[in-house]
Amino acid sequence: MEPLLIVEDLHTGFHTDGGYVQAVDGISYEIYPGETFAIVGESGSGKSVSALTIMGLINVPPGEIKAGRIEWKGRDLLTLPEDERRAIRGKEIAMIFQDPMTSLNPVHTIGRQIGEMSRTHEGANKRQARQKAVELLDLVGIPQPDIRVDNYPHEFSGGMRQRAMIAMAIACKPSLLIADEPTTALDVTVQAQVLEVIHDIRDEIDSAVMLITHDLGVVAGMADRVMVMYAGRQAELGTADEVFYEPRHPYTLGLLASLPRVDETGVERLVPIIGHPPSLINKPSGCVFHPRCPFAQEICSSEVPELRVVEGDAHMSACHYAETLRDVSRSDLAATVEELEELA
Amino acid sequence: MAISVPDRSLAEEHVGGAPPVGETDHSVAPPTPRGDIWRRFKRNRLAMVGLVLIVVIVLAAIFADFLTTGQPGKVNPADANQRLFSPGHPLGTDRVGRDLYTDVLYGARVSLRIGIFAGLIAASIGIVVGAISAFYGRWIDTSIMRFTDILLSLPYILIALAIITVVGPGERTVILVLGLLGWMAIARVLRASILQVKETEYVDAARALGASNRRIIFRHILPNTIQPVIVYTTLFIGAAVLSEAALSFLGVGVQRPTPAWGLMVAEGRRSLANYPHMLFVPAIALSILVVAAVFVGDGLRDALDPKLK
Repeated sequence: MEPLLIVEDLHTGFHTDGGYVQAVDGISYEIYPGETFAIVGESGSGKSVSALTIMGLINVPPGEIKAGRIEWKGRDLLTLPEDERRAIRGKEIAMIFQDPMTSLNPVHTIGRQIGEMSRTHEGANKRQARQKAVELLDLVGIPQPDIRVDNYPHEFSGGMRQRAMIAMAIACKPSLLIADEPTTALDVTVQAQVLEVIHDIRDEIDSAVMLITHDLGVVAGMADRVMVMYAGRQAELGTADEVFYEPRHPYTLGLLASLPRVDETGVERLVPIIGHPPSLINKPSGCVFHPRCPFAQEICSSEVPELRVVEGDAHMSACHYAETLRDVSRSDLAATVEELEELA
Repeated sequence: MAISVPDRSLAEEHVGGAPPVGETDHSVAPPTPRGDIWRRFKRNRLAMVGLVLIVVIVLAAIFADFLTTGQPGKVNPADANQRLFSPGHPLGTDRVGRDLYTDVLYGARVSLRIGIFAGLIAASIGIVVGAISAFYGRWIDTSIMRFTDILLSLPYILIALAIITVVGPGERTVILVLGLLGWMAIARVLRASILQVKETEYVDAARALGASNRRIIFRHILPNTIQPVIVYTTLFIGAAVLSEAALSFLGVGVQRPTPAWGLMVAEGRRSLANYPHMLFVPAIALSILVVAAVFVGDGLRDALDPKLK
């Protein structure tokens, strides 16, 4: 199958007073039609910036896209003129933002904002746009959509606003839906509902979903493939099963070990990842993760590990010792971390 | 999940102090649909008083032809120096016999015209300059803002005097001068407010959904930034009416035979010792208009900004 989106060696950074921040530092991936592709990483790992680069929403300056290629259905997005990019935004690639409280314009009704999509991209008139908005609200599970369509955002709860945002994003049946932490601002019960809506919608309009999150639970429930990012670089890339059950990067391993699990008996301790994420201005030499890695060797501080296939067709990891991680169990990791903590 | 409250009157009972169901506390100002603005404005008694006063003044100005019998600004030495409530002259006459009642009603036209047109000019220039400054940013923004700073630092009445001495006094000149010297604050207020709204997520969201620049500016940014401009312009109208008085007082404002309130105050000053009503009648009319404009402006500010509640 032809990929929808090909990202190749993308470098996006920001010039700040403190120096040049390498937010996205050479990442490559493809997204295929109909799949859910999750990008996982902690705050500041470059997940959102890579999505914003695809959308063309990086302000230049202070932002800068230093190198790389983004190919959308065979067209190079980065060299496309602005009006052609705008035609793609919203119609072919749409985005759901993180905070539904601030992502809706307070002075327009929900219906008008959803209808704006059909008016911008499909030339619908006011009445058609409103009708379309009612249908979309119904689709995302808003009760009494014909009344709700005339409400203002402040008359909606957080979960309903996020549903309205989703309705806006899917108005033109995009082939790719980028969801940037779509549930972070919502409480847990609503999170599940919103994720379910995104999941159902994906099947309904047959689009691919790029799910950006730091919540591994969300990923496990939704994603087909997962990319783990750390400090602007790719740590690991593979199917959800591969990444969750056979992690081949110490960072992924650390993330998983720091999660509480309900299926394990006994009173195993949670294993934290020691240290802090590095500064994106002065990144550590070699592997960016080596200062925090319990398995780090000399080579790790001098040579940048390539992202390479380590198992199967496409399970990739950027670790010099990816192969040897096969047999590391959670308790091994815990022991190593404890040793390190004592040393420190 | 919020329960639908389609009935407005029902919803209002909820609103009292606590926000409606489903509303969480967040730092961004809640939205202000038109109905809510009017409801909040109505609740402010002073603002309603101001609005009624302005309506009365506007009606008096419009229907001055029917409400008076005399001719505005007409000199009649035989009737000079009539006191209040004298026959045929309910508000008396001035030292050359002009009927104060007639002149005050017709003067309302001039004062309102000056206030409104100066306000419109100042607002138009202010909006254009402020918007350009905020949207283009960088060196354009810096130079425009420094230029307005310079204009703001110059003594306003002196510039007005200088311009009027060159162009010659009159109602039109007063409007132009006040409008051309009054836009700086409006430009700065709008610029600040656009810079703030430009960074909001809903503008990013609109861009992400493919909205054009024009659409983003006119549908998403301006409606969210125009409120302080409306408020400021209302207050400016009051101030402009007062400035007309100041200019007329200095002899460079509106010229006779046109009656204007500031001009009448300036004339009445000369007879203050013997006939104080010649000063107080137009002065009170002037004060009522200015105070009403301030009340309305304050009321609008509170109604448009729910955070101040």
